[in-house]
Amino acid sequence: MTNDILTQLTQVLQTGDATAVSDLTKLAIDQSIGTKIILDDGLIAGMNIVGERFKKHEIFLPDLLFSAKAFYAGLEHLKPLLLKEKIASPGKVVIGTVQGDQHDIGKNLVGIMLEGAGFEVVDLGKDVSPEQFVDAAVETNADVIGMSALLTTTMPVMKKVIDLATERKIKDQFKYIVGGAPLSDKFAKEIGADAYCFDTVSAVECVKGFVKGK
Amino acid sequence: MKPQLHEIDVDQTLATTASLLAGQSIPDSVTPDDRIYQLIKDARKLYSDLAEPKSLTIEIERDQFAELFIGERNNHPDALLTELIPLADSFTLFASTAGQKVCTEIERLFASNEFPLASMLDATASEGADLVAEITQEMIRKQLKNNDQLDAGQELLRFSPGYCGWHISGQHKLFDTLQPSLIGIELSESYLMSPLKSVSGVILKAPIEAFDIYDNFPYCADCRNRSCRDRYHTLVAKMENNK
Ligand code: B1M
Repeated sequence: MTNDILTQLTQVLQTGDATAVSDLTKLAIDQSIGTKIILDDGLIAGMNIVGERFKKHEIFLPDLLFSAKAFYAGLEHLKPLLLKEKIASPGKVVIGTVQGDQHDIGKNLVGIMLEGAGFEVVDLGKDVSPEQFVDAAVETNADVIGMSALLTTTMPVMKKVIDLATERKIKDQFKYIVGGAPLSDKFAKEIGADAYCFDTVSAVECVKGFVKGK
Repeated sequence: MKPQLHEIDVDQTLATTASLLAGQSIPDSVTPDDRIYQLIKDARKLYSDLAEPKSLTIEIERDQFAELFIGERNNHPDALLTELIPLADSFTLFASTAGQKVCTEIERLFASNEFPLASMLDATASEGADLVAEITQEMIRKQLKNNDQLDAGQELLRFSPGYCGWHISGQHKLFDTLQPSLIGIELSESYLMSPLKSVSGVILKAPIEAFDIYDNFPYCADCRNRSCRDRYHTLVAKMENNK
């Protein structure tokens, strides 16, 4: 029975049927299948398959986003239980678009996919100052700070975030990932970031790698 | 010259289903399922209801443009326009926008977990903003033609700060001269325009050969668009058609 529900959950999640995902998640909770099991073996397992298929170009961005919407429809029911049962995520990422920049579609997509991979995401929004990044990372005990910028003129803020953490002698408490159209590996190295992520897939892979290596 | 305000028909700036599919990297060989077609339909309808396409233009003299182009002295030493300015004989500054309402709706959709529609509307509005600029260029072309100011062999092409070695900070002087706040476009200290779906730049008139640009400048390595060759070929095709 448990396996049936979880298998169905991963299947409807792949088709992006938000109503079915919501109903099946509720059913799984009612059947007392553990919260973490529903999350890991149902929702995240489904999103992992979707992510792999997207990476192989078997499905496309709209398909991925239908599944992401369905994932959130299920997660909604699990969130209060995760809090109540104090179930920790494998890692926490503070994410935002840097100060002076308002481009947030890329950042939003990265945040959605990180949640879909089971990470806790603290989304600070856009136009985020270095202080806001570092303070939020400290307050939430984050593992990773993720920064997005789409303009060459706002890229230097990324360095300011890392410099501020260095100044406060807490740089090594976090890993730093950066992304956005005008960035590069070279730039990430120059500012002392741990990785430049080209897209959502590479962002998820990077964070998985960092958390595993902890 | 006085600035001109252009109110543009929203449907002229509506991205086609085919181009939206291509923008999602969906190859021609793949037949997307019905829900993707429905998504595109919904996004196009929303765009059509909410977008308020407008642009502002002003024609200025070559010397004035040459000075404006220097901007904050951040341009690449090999910036393409340095070569083009002497070859062109008409310089029209422009700022175009799809308006704020559509941008606000994209944010609202994302915040309500309506990711597929939010993302498709974003793509529609991005293309829309580019089409507003394209139609503006077409309007300028028509005006020049009607005034017998477009010689045989001449064509128009537009360039924007942030591309081709023209530094994004070039927008500062451009905004000082054009004053796009007249159509609701503001420029931030970091040279970001709001509404987000806005484009600024210059429309040049020059012999078509001047626009036969290659993407082998040092700064081309940083450009993800690389559409300059396509733009040139489109111009040539258009010229052939107009013959
Ligand atoms: C934390 O970890 C991570 C990890 C990965 C992360 C991450 C964080 N953040 C992002 N990622 C990564 O994962 C995401 C998912 O794959 C990706 O996120 P993106 O946000 O990159 O991707 C989005 C989902 C889709 N991508 C986009 O929406 C941007 C695509 C490109 C083609 C683009 C578009 C569509 C537009 N633009 Co403009 N535009 C370009 C872009 C070039 C390019 N090919 O990327 C860029 C950003 N634009 C540029 C420019 C210059 C401009 N644009 C402008 C206008 C426009 C349009 C309106 C036509 C349109 C929409 C703008 C918008 N973003 O809403 C102007 C500015 C607009 C403004 N409001 O100020 C204008 C200034 C031009 C002008 N003078 O008018 C360039 C900026 C470079 C610079 N010099 O700063 C640019 C890089 C193009 C180029 N030259 O190659 C990855 O980057």
